[in-house]
Amino acid sequence: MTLQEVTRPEPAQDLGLEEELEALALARLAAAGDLQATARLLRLVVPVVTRSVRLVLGPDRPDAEDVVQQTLLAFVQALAGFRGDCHPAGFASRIAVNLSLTARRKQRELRLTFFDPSALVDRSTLWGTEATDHELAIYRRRFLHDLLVRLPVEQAEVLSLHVIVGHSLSEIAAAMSTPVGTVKSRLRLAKEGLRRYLETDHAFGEGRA
Amino acid sequence: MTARKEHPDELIHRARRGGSLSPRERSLVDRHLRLCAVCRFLEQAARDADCEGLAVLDGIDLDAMVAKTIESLPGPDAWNGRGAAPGRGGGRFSSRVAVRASTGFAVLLLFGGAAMAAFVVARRAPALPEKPAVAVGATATPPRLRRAVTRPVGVTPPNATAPAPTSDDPVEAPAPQSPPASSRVVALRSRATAATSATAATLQPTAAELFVEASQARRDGRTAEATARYGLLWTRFPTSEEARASRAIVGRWLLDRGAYGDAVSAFHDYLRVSSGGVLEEEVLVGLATALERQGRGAQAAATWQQLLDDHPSTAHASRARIHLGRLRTAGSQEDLRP
Repeated sequence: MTLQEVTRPEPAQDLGLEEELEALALARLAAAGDLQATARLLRLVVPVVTRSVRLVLGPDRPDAEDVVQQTLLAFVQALAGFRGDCHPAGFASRIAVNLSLTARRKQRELRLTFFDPSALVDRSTLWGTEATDHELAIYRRRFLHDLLVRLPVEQAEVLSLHVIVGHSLSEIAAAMSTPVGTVKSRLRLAKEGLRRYLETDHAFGEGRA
Repeated sequence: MTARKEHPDELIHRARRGGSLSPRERSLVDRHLRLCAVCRFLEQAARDADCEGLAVLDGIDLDAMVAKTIESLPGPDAWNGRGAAPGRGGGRFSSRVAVRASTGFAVLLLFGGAAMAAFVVARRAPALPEKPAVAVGATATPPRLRRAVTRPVGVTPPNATAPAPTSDDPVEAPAPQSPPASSRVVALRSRATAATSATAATLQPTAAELFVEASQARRDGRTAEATARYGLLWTRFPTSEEARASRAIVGRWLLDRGAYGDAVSAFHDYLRVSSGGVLEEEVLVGLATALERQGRGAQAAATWQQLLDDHPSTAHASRARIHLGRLRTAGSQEDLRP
């Protein structure tokens, strides 16, 4: 656990009923073609979408804004099939994660980033001397992003939604219209993949459980 | 099942979100995080994302992004009732709509003549979407909603109560020919009603709110306010997760500011209150560093050694060994050995 400035979200005892009801009603109006409701709904989900895209894609990605736009368009077009099982923002974040993972996979060279020789040199230096929390966070992020393009899509999607976006398993199940058991299973498999990955990465200090 | 094989994902997630855990659940989470490198790594990554997520929206004009999306949307008829699968098919579907529209228009010109075309135009005109009467920015959601959407889905500010609906709120107006509310929506409505009747015992800030306010004040350099908020948090919610974590954060904060003595006190407080907690490794690192900078080499070395003994697989192992070696060669070996 790092000591960096942890500011976790507020407690989730309450589900934000009023907001969710409003959002669901907006989604219904937007699906019916109400442009003003669509604008309000988009304004409601765009922070979640932007955050999801930027966190999954990683920093300094020039295509981040394009992926956000694609996500918003896909979200509006998918509204008619949205069953209201979850908050529309959850539905939108699932699309955002999906498209972001696709964008990452399209750029295959990114898979090699983590194993770039210079990066390995940097990393060994880092771990051998004074690593600040910030640096550790950067390496964790790179490690996680590299893992995401190696995992099967379904597992990467669940892992992203759970770890990066911060959804609970039940929220993910609702957003994906999938049983919670399936989500748990995918997360477990993703963790097994991560364990193998950690164990084969000898330079990574946390690699030995 | 060992703690490593059975991951208590829900409990870990609830702990991260600041939800309540029973002592047994807390113990289970802490123990699992100590034993399972995978969950520990993911928990760290999740907290990294939480921190990063606060800043990732800085400098982005979200209203402009929405306006751009609205402009690029096809007419509402294009998606009404034909949901595309998320993330696929949108472009192809738009193309099909465009082809059909242009074909229809050509047929009208060919056979219908001007009168028919005028009739069709007159008939279709009202159905065309109009730009919102006000700019998109002006239709932004109320502050309460804005706060809501910056949080992960399903997370609501504590103390939220359902406000009275306003007459001009389109959300409250039933959609024409809308499908009957699903059972989920009905359940949500009944819970919303119950939430409305809850009183305002809730006016006092919660532990999470105090934590966020204190953190913000700390980041903004408002030291006095941050100190006051942290003090309030520790007084009012001494056993909360926020209070426990904040002792470690304050210790690090003081260490960075050069207040080594106070940092040592804060780290000791954390270890006293949260022995075996998930931040223990970093607290030991901070404590050892603060002690070392105070010139208390023997105690610093003992703390580094404790870190290596208690957490042999820690990410700070190499760092600890370097410091230990440095301290030992500094000539105080007699003080360093237990």
